Amino acid sequence: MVNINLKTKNTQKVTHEANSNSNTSLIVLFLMTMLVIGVMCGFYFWKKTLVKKISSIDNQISLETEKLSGEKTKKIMDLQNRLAVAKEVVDKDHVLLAVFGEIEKAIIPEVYFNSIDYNDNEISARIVAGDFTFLAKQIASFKKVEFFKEVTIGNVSVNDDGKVETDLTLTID
Amino acid sequence: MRTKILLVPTLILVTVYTIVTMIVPDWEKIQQKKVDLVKREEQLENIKEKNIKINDLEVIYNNEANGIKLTNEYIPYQIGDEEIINNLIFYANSLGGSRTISVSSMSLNNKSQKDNSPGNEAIPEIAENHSPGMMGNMMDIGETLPKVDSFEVDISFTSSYEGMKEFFAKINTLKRVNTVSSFEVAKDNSENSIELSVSATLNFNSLKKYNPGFVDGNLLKDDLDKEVIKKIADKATADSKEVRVDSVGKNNPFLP
Repeated sequence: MVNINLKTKNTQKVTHEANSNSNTSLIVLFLMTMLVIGVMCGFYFWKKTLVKKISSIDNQISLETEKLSGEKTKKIMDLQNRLAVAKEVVDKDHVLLAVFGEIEKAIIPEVYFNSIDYNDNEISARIVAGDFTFLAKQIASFKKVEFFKEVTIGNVSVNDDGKVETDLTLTID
Repeated sequence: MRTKILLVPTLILVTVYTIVTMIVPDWEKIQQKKVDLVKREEQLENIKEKNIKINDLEVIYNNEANGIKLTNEYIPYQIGDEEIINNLIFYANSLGGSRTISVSSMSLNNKSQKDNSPGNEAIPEIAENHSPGMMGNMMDIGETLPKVDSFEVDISFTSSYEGMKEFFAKINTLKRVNTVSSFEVAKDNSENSIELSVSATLNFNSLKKYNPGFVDGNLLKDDLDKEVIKKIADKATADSKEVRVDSVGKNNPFLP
């Protein structure tokens, strides 16, 4: 039996090159697999380190928060809150004293009050004046006082004693 | 050769599968953890700064002990309605002679109980076993500061003009904050009467103690207002005579 080699020299060369390429591919793939495994391991340790760091910071946060939630902070924040409320009112004296103080300064001897009501920055009063001239003088006197922002008079009438009576509205800040 | 031909695509597939299902999600997790770490570091820094601030403020707090005591009396923790009544009656009774005042009625009204406004909510309960890992929640929980409770006293009495003024001047020197929200003063029908009928609504305040289960310090201010502490101390030590209204135009605007 005669063996006949049908492969040409070229065909042998191509087969040899294909084998060689296949080996290279395998090496490359092997390296890639190794790289992937390496990256996975790297990520695992990276994650582990991050988790450890986060856990450590959480512990510190817990300790610092516990410290911050202590009585010391509460008493200081309580005082700050109290001072914020006090700031709004500490400069204000009783409005009643202020109102009467200003009225006493502005009232003229020939005029007197029958009643004074105060509510929501508005003073409603019933005043009696000796005559119309004194009433006019009184209104002028109130208008000169800065404390009273607005001075309004209502209906003016003459009472049984011959004196002039009117409703007066004074607005303050 | 055949093995090789099968191995190459299999390895490629396995590699791609590993990258897609494990490496990419891990990368995203790592990025998230890095962001968390930065946030936690910032949070820790922030809390540390607040603790340092608290230590600084405590020095001021300890130096202002007397003023702080007066501030706590000025805006008290509790309404103390019995104390209010006691003080008002004491002042009313302490006026003698032409300044005597005769109290005809007094009614007390706790405004805050009626008021259901959002500002009057109780401090929210916060879990004591708060996990430090729940940073998002920690930042979201705000400690509400207590709101002012108001208490109204309607008082009616008769007195002379001077008696009325002195009574209110005395109330004005109370060590606790109070305001007059409205008043009505009217004289008797007779022209020369010196008796006045007085009705007034006084407001007293209180502020509950700040005592949350957990403090994140978001509402912590940088300083203690020493100016206000001083003003309160000055007011508390002022003589009642100093705040009397001086008479310039006419002593009594109700007299002809």
